[in-house]
Amino acid sequence: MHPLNRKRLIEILHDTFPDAVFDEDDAHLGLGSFPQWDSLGNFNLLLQVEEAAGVRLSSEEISETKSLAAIIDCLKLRNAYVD
Amino acid sequence: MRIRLTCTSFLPDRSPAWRQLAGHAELDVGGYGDWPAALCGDYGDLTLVWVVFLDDLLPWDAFLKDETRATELLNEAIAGALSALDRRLEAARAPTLVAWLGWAPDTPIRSARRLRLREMAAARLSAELYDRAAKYSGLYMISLDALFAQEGMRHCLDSRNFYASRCRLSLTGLKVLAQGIDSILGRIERAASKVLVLDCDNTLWGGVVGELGVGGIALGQDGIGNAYVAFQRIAKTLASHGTLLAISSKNETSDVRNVFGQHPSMVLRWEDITAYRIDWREKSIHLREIAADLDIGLDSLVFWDDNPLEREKIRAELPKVCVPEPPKEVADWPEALASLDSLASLTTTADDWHKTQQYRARAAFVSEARTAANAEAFLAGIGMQPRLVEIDAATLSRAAQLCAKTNQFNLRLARHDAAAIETMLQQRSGIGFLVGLKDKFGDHGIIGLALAVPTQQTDVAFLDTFLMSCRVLGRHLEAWMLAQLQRRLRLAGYRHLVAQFVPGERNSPAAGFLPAHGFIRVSEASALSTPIAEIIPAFDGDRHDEPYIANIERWTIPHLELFPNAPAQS
Repeated sequence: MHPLNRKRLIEILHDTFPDAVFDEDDAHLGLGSFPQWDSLGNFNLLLQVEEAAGVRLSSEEISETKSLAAIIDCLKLRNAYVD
Repeated sequence: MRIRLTCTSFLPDRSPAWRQLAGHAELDVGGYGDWPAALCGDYGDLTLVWVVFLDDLLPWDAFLKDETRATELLNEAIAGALSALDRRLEAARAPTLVAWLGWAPDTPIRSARRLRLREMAAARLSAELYDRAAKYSGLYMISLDALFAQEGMRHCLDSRNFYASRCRLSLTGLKVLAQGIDSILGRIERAASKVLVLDCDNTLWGGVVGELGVGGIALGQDGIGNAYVAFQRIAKTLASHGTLLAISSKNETSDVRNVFGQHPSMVLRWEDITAYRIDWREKSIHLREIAADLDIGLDSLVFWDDNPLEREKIRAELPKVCVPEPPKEVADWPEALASLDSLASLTTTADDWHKTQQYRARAAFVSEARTAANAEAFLAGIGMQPRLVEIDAATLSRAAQLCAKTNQFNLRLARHDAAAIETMLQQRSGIGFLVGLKDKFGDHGIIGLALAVPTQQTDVAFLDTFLMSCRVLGRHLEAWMLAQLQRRLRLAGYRHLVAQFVPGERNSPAAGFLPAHGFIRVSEASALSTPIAEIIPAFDGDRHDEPYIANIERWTIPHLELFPNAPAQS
């Protein structure tokens, strides 16, 4: 496991959506925040987060995790998030 | 190149896994299960990658209803899928890659006494695909069973992803798939490296021979010595498939020769080594000289050395040389060498088996030619016996290989694959042949290719491809080849041949060929009634020099006296 912080998660967002323009400090960043973050983009993003953190989300989490805050919650549950 | 990716289930568009394919071209990932439309649709000009999961093809409902018809249903499902592939292969002008997976998790008990139905189906699919590869030169296969096994099936497949998004693969699986596609596309675009340059101490054997003596090095017998033997076996296997072996060692030549001559566990023989530099100079000098000996570019060399400092120096000084990073454990080297993409070819032609001998012959020719007092007299005395070889099913892959690999004497550097050559000859009524050569230095195999195609002006042909392996340059064999082409063009009713030289990075040896062999500038002739842009495909007046033309009836080709069997000139 490789715990992530918010800065690293923002880097992963940029890596997953290289063309996207968004406010990195937006507390509500999530699916729909910019056009590239659609359901397929969300799937790609979660796989990237899993790989970077060395964790695996459940089927339910893969379906329901749709925002940066929700991703952080999933990571916290696995002790894979540091502030 | 544009690539269309289609799958029997789903592959996620915009996945970072596909980024490694960006170097080839634009990628278009199809939607869920859109493969029948992709195979049968109008994508003939796009490279198509079809990812097939056997599970997606199986008619599960019918299966469960009537298990007695299982084999029949399986065969029907596979035949149905392959009929769509056949439509693609008949129409496609661009490569088709099929990546397929037959594996599914199971207990070993069910296959302990009998072959399972699934295994039979996977074997049938595989056999059918390879049968088609023999027929269609533009078809390439990727066995995902083999590819994923290296990474671990459970790491590559992900049933959670399948139920979440219909994608059967994990991110790792997507990356491994992309890597497999990248390897094949890379090899279609660029030929394999020709030479494996090996260090000796701690590379071909363990220890320093200069300190330990022949009897003290680790080679064979027990433990890690066997890993060096296995590494040599892989190098020898590569050599038998056409890779040339060379040695670059900071050592005393006598020490190295003694190991080759005296150590009972040496797998490589001195005869396997095509070129070598064994002295205390920098290895960058060794590699430059080895490339010059063999008359090949530095980008055809792969350098394998245990010493990280030597590797770094070569990377810095000779960036064109491929320098793989060997695994830390010598025990892992044989596998790493065997898996090296840069030395892997798509096909092995009959000529590949004799490469070492052919390059040794080249070295002997260069050495004698250098000291000959009279070059023409020397060439007249080497007993050249050129031969024409037709391009057919047996030799088509050699023609494509020459197109891909020949850099120096290659007039236009057109990199045709086998399918394109076939189309040129059969559908476009082109004239083409290969050339082989024997002389006192040995049988050089098939080393030349000429392809001429009709043009908008019926009495004018265009010289699409005219190339010769650097192994036989310096013999004026190009003149003989031109005379054969002249004869064939005359028989086909042509009156003129238009040709051009397209300069590339390394084909300067072909630069002055046309004017030196009876061609004149098109502006100096009055033969063309059709604009040059309609004669030469993709002609660019800003980028290309003025093309040349030869009058087939009045064409005087020099140097033919060296070939008594050449056709008489009119």
